[in-house]
Amino acid sequence: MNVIVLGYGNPFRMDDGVGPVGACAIAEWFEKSGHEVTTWIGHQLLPEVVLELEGRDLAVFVDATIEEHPDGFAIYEVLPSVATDGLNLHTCTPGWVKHIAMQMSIAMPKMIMVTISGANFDFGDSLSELCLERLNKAIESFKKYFVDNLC
Amino acid sequence: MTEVFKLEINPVTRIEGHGKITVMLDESGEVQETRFHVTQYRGFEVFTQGRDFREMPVITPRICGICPVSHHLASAKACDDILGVTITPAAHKLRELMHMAQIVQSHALSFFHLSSPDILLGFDAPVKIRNVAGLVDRYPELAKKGILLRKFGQEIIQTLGGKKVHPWHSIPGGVNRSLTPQERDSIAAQVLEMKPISLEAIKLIKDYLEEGKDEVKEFATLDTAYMGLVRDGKLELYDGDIRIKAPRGRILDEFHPKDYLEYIGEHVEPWSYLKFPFYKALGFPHGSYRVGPLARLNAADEIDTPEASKEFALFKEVGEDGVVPYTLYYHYARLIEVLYGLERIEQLLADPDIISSDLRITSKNINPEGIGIIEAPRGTLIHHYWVNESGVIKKVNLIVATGHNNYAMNKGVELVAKKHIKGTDVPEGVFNRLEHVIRAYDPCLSCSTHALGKMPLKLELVASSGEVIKEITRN
Repeated sequence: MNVIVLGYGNPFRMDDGVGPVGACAIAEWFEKSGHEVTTWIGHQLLPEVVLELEGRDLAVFVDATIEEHPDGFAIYEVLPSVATDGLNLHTCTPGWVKHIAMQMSIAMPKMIMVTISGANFDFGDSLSELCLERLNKAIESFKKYFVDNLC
Repeated sequence: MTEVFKLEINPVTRIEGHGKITVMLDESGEVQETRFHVTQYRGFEVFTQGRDFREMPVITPRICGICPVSHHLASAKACDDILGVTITPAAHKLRELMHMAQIVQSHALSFFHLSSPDILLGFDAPVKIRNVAGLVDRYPELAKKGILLRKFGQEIIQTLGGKKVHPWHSIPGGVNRSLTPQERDSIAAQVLEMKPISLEAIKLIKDYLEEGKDEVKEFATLDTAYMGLVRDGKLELYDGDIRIKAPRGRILDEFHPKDYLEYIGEHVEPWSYLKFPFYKALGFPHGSYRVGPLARLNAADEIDTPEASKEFALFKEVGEDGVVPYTLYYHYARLIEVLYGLERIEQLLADPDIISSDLRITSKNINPEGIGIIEAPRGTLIHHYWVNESGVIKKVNLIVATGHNNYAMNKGVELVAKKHIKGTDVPEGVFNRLEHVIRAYDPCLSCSTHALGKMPLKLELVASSGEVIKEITRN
């Protein structure tokens, strides 16, 4: 399977950097499992990312959130979203990426979102203990999700 | 006491960085005064003091997330000057290749992502759709082409410098890597696909300028001088001499970049962190000039790549004496430079030096100061460092493109405000026109941090007493 794992966020604002950290961990797992994998790391999603997804079998987005989830994280399939309130170059969402891909007639792979609740977004280049714990659970849960739903 | 009302657009959206516009109205509702404020302070000139000058090409690109290559290259040139070296032809061409890629990607961002929603969807289109998302919905094929063009430039930067944003390629005395033949051939194949996109965009903007010529010719049109690098009178973006041309086309001065302090002064206003550079011979404000794509094409006599040269000739026909004063023509000039950048990339790739391994000149010499000047996408960028005998930075002077255009942006806002604003009931489209004056210059108000993510637009109507009479927030 040809997989791209996209992690985004600011690694110098503590838990906002969980996206890049999580993306690298998930990509490593895919690679060890024998899949062809590409890792994309950025501060934020941009419209250009749509071109990175073309021709893949699966795209996994990993990002931090300020929302609280019961397990500290959530995993779900990305659906196209046309919501543009407040949209600018710094607030693209995976859903909007999927939407513009459809508008541009670019075939998109199945897209999965792994979103992890951050606990501390202060200055710093490490994750809080709570966020790290949530990340580890999210990764294990994603592996199971992949095996159960995507293999 | 005379009642004064103040309208504020804060922050201005779809530009790089954060600024605000204030419009002051008198008691009869007439525009009294306008200001474009730059509300960020970065402090790079201060906190780089005490660092080794060799670190500057890595530190200064952090000023910006859109044009880090420009700072990287200007800084490296200043470091070459401190070392007293002339870099090898291969290093020169590789630096220029990265620079052209930066011009292409940055101009594509400015036109397709930031400005074309106003142009294609209209200044008065609902704010909800007047953005890149609306553009994708209405013109998906064009939007895709804009994305492809930007990606092309970014990938050249990544190939040479390891990263699309904040690459590391230039070093004092040269560059740290060349292109492989495979990389060269890959870029050469892609550039052929990019040229038709730039030509299509040029046609689109020309049609727009022609159809709306009445508004275009009076939209923030200014008589200013123009400044840009030239080499033997031709458009030059990496090297060359600085030329200042008068509003009617007379060359006021042409000088070596190292002499810039003799010709350029900086005026300070207490309400903005951005200074107002001016041509010393005429003083401030008469010596105010513009930089960037429009100014560069006005300053130059010709372009030496074939397709861009043809378009340049058409551009020159628009204004009298070969000078185009119309602010909305910045977009046209910007797209001509995209075409020029693509053609220069073709030329550079065809040069055997581009895969050479002769990349660096070393030197133990440390001159007391170094100056590096290039044409960043938004205009002339100046890095000037003073160092001690060990190479430790004592003082830094950075004059960025947006600063050169500060006076023009302020005057442009004033002209549009005076034309469209009568009283406090101001339609949304008028505010967008004020913002578009700024957007046309594609200012970069230092854009590497956007921690809040969303940019709300806030409009305040404030009495002279400070009381907020009316407040509108746009998310």
